[in-house]
Amino acid sequence: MSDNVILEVQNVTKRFGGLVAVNDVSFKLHNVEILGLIGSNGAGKTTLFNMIAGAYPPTEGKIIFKGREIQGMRSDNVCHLGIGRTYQICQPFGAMTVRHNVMVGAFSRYKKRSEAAEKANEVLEKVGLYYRADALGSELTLPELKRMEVARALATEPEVLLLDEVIAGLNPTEVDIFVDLIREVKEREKLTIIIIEHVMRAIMNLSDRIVVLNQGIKISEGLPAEVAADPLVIESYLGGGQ
Amino acid sequence: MKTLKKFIPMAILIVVGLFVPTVLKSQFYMQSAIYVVIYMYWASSWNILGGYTGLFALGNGVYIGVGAYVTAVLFVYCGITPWIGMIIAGLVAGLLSVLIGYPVFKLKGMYYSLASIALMSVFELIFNNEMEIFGVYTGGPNGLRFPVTGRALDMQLSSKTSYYYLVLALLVIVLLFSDYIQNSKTGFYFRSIRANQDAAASLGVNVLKYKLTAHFISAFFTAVGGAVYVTTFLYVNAKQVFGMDLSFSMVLFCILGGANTLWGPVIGALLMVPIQQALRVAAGVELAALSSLIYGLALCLVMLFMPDGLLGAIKKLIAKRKTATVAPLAAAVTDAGQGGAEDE
Repeated sequence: MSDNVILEVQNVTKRFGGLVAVNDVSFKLHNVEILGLIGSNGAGKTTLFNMIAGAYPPTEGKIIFKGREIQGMRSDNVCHLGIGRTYQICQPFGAMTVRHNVMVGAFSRYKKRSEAAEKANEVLEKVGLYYRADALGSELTLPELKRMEVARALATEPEVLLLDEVIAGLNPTEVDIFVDLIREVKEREKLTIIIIEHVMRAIMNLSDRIVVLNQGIKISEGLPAEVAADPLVIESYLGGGQ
Repeated sequence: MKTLKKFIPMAILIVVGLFVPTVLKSQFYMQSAIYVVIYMYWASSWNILGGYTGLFALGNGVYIGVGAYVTAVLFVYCGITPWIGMIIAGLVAGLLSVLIGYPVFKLKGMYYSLASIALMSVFELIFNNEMEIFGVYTGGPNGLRFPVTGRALDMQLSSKTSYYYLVLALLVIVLLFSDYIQNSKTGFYFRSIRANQDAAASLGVNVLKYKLTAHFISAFFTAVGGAVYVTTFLYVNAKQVFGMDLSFSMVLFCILGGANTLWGPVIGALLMVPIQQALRVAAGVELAALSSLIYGLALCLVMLFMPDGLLGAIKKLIAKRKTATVAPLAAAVTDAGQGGAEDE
């Protein structure tokens, strides 16, 4: 099992001044699995993503990707190593077309414009956004923006993909479509995914395993059914049934 | 077909540009034409930094000054022709911009702009007050005069028309280069940094490296322009090249015409330089303030009603027209200036 580990978070802590956002969190990510990361607002989920993706270094602890310590590495280098991410609040390049947005990601693997364009078209096709390829980033609807976020990250050809609330804010029909999309992409690309999500139906459905954070501390880890039955999780996150 | 279409504006510029001297007979008008073209050139150089990459430098005139002084010193003391001197000057300015950019890029937005003004002011003070810099006599407020040789080999051309063709050639070069950059990986990275540098970094863009690249390119071209500019006068002094005027003008013309577009800076300078000159002539010395007032008012109006510049406003108008007939194509049209579709 252990040689199957692609990413390992070891005793990671992040302090912002007096606030401990992430407190001594450890977990392992296995090759080609979907790990759900859940917890209430302020639990430290996005902070954890930011540290893995290199937005800022952890205060303590190690992050190991394919046997290499990557904590504190610059985010563009992390991207080149093979970790892609999306943002909770979509960050489109508004004045650029959707295709050009995705090409920025593709340029991390392809030097030539024509190759990057080809890659972008391919990825847009995959996430079902090709019909909007010539629209400006600023013209997209929320579901389209979320697709573009995924497309841009996929264009960097990651091995590990960090999805930060790509489903939140979508209507139930779109949620189902997106769940299928994520699963499909994972299978086809042999991707390993960590997904932060509040939509329980989606996360329970998608995840192979789930890690639960509460106020920066990991309070549970296991199969979706196990986690959902964990009294600690029910009390702190899913809501205690008095 | 697509590439052919792209070169039509360039062809028009070159053809019209070549014919201008046959229409403008007087020396005064020829000098004005030189101003127009060199401002087009500087605004285009600034566009690479301020337009594409979104780094709002307000003191880029510093590179005009560095380019001018390096060229002058090399010619006056080492006898190196400005034809070579301008390239060395460009490289020196580029290097300076990288050295300065490195710490300055820790500053964001307004602070970055202020730092760039401060840098220029420091250079102006030094060059205006010190008679010697690093042991080389630069003349302080008296400036530095080029020895007259009258040889084309020393970039001392026989007529205004020749100088005009020289700056026109520079303009064409910077535009071709801008177009090339805009459509390359580097250009995509510039625009992604402009839009959102954190998102760009997460997609593999080395933000600092590309900011410094933009700085270097912009400084290089700006300095080469400065070298040619002072060679037309055979004289350089600090007030002339380090003043706020040049720095602000290149930014204003670029924004007025349409920053982040290839032709915006050209259109901006084409309209504003003649207006500026005409107002100056019309108002005379007594009413000099009036010309500035009218000029300022015109600026405010354009900024208010055309926030994307003249070219942006025209594009929007075309897009609106098209929306009425074929809605989905509007977006493609709006973006036509940035390289068109890529349906391979």
